[in-house]
Amino acid sequence: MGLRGYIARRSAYTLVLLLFVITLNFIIFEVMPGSPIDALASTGKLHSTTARDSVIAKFGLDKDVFTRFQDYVVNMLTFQFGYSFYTAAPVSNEIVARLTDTLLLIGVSTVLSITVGVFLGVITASRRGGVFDSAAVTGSLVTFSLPTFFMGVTAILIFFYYLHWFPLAHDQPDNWTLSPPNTGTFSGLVEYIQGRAQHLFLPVMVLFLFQYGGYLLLTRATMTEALTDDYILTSRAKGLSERTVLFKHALKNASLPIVTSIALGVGFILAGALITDNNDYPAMQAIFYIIALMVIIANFAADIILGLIDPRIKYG
Amino acid sequence: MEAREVRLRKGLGRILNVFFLIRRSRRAIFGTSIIVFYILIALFAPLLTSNDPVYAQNLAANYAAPSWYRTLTFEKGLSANQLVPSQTSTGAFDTQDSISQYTLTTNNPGAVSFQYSPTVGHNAAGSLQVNVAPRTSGSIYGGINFTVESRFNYPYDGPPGRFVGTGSVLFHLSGATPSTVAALFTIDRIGNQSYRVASADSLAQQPYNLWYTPNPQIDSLDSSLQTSSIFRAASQRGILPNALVFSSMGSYSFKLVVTIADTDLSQPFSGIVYLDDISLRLYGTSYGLLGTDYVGRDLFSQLVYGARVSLLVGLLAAGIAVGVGLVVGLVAGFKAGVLDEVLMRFTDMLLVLPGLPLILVLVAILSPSLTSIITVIALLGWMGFARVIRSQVVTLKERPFVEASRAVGAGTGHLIRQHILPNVMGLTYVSLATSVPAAITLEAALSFLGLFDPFVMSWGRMLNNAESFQGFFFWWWFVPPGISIALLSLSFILVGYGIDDILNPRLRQRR
Repeated sequence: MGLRGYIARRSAYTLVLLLFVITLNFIIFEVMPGSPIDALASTGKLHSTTARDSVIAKFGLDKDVFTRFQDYVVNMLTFQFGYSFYTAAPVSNEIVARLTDTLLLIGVSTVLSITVGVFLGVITASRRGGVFDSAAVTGSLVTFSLPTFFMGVTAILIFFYYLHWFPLAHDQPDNWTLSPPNTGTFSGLVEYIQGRAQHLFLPVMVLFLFQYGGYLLLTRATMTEALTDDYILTSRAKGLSERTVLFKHALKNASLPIVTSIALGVGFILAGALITDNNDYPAMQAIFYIIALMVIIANFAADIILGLIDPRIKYG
Repeated sequence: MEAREVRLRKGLGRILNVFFLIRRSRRAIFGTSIIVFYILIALFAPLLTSNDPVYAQNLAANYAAPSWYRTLTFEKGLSANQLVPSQTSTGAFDTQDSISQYTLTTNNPGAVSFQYSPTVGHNAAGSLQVNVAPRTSGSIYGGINFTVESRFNYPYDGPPGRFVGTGSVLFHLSGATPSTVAALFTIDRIGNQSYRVASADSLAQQPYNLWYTPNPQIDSLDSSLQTSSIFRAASQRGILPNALVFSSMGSYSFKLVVTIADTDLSQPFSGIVYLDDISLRLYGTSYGLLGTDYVGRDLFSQLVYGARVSLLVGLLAAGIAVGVGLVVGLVAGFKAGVLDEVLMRFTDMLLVLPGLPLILVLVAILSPSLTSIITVIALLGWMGFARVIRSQVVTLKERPFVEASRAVGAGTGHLIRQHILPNVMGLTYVSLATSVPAAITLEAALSFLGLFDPFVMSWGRMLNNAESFQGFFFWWWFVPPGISIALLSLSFILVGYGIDDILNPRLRQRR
């Protein structure tokens, strides 16, 4: 089987996985207590039986389970997430609004932590047992085991409440909703970037501190293994510079688990950020589905990348 | 019998081996000592604190600071719990001696006498009995009164967070119907000002055998007291009764004045008045080792009992997860073919599901309890370990020593027990050590998001409370549980790394 066969098999597997996630999603929310009728009734929006009937029709509650499941699978595959139980507005609007801010935050912190984590991992592996190694490993273990929410609150307290260095972690200055800076002009653009950066700094730092430890430890572990291999000795004997040995030879060979972990991390990290109101089932369902989708796609991408990087894998 | 002994010795040896392993890594020693520290705290929680972490409310004022904070940081504004009278908590007059804690006075010593009644009492037998002597015809009780007061020294610069007072009166009057029967409760700054905190003027109609007790009770947080004529103006400026009354240190007294007057002289008049439960409680704005939360519960006790929850959830969930992972990994690795394929595909499917959201949803469906939290965390935490074990078993079972054993006729059970299991135990310990902190932080995250067992107090729930009720302004509320979660997790990770370093000879440092 060639690379093509490998990709085809992974694709088929990914599709099965997708169906599994959709089914699970459907079952979970099917057995959950509460219905849109209850939710809307609690907000006082259902006054007449006709309104009630229209809600039942809108959410498809009058059909039997199998018809609903069929509809559900089609809806999920075509990204039709239905309507919020509470606001009756399309769920996708809210999710798109949420995703843009989240992606910026997660994107910046993930790229930062991967860069710093992998770099520090390589350095610590090459100086195993030294002071820098102990300090970096201990430090990353500490930040790794601190709960994110605890770190977040502490950061807000210290930098916002006591020191007044940074604004509270909204995504942008509050007065921008009324008068956003004119990004067309140079000074406006500078102001815009500055404002966003100030507001992003704290959450990015917290997420960075939480994430980089994992990458550091993983890189360090795989690098330590790689550095014991004979080809490293050979390349050192050839007189290659330490930098070339570490980053070109060792890191490349140690990169497989790191790539997998990065792909998984990018998918999973969205999870924490997208969690929302616990009772709005369509919104939760959609978010759950999107997160799972991201993880599946990231996994698929990792499989393909690994197949391309490592010739040993693709025919397995 | 002998076989059992051998097995026991073997098991013991294995446990000892783990300890010897741990002794060889400084990190692991550090981690183990922290874990032992928290285990001891969890085990001896009832000895460390007598307060229930969930149900014991109003131990002091809400949001009280730690009591050592008052002495160490010159926070002169803080006060401590104080009971008036000091010796009994209820002022229940359950012994004759209890009368000596009160100062008894009257405007008519000829007609009024005080004694102890061991039989009559409000909630329990025993009360202060006041006899009003029969009126000889002609002389007028133009209003007799008597006062029962408890004097005390208030030693703090700042006011108490709250005061709650009580006192009960029972009238047994006979003869003429009196024109006035009144009871008045005051808190006096002696030689300065007297504050009326409760009063009743028309107790003449109070039936026999029915005690009068101020209702609503005397409470500085009660809105009827705050809006009463004496306190209204100050309350509107934000100075609540507790702050107005106890505005400085000095001598105070909690006082009950009973007044009886009659105008109808044609009939005889006499009476007995019983007084009970006269007491005042001042809720300190400092308490215990870590202060109190938003309903006056002991934060130190919550921290101590939280260790139990974290350890229980961590160890149990991780134990179950590792157990399931071990079994699935062993079966899949040993029985190649369809079973292996099915198990591993299933594992992969669970592995790509987004963990935290799924756990959130499942716990919400099952309704949060310790059992459901442990179950969900355990059942979604075994997949990674199962894969690792399977990959190990797949290579192990082809090794010569397994083949040799099989060649001489060893069965599957024997092979697994004698050859495979001992060789994956190291991995199991490492995985156990790294699964525990994952379970601990997951439980904390769930509780922080509001999915906590309502009957137990966990560190995550403490953080949730702090977040919901402005607790993040008090470092002694949220830092100890946060640090504890981190420290306990870190110790398990350190132990895991320690064992890993020792067991993995390839990673051992070249010296």
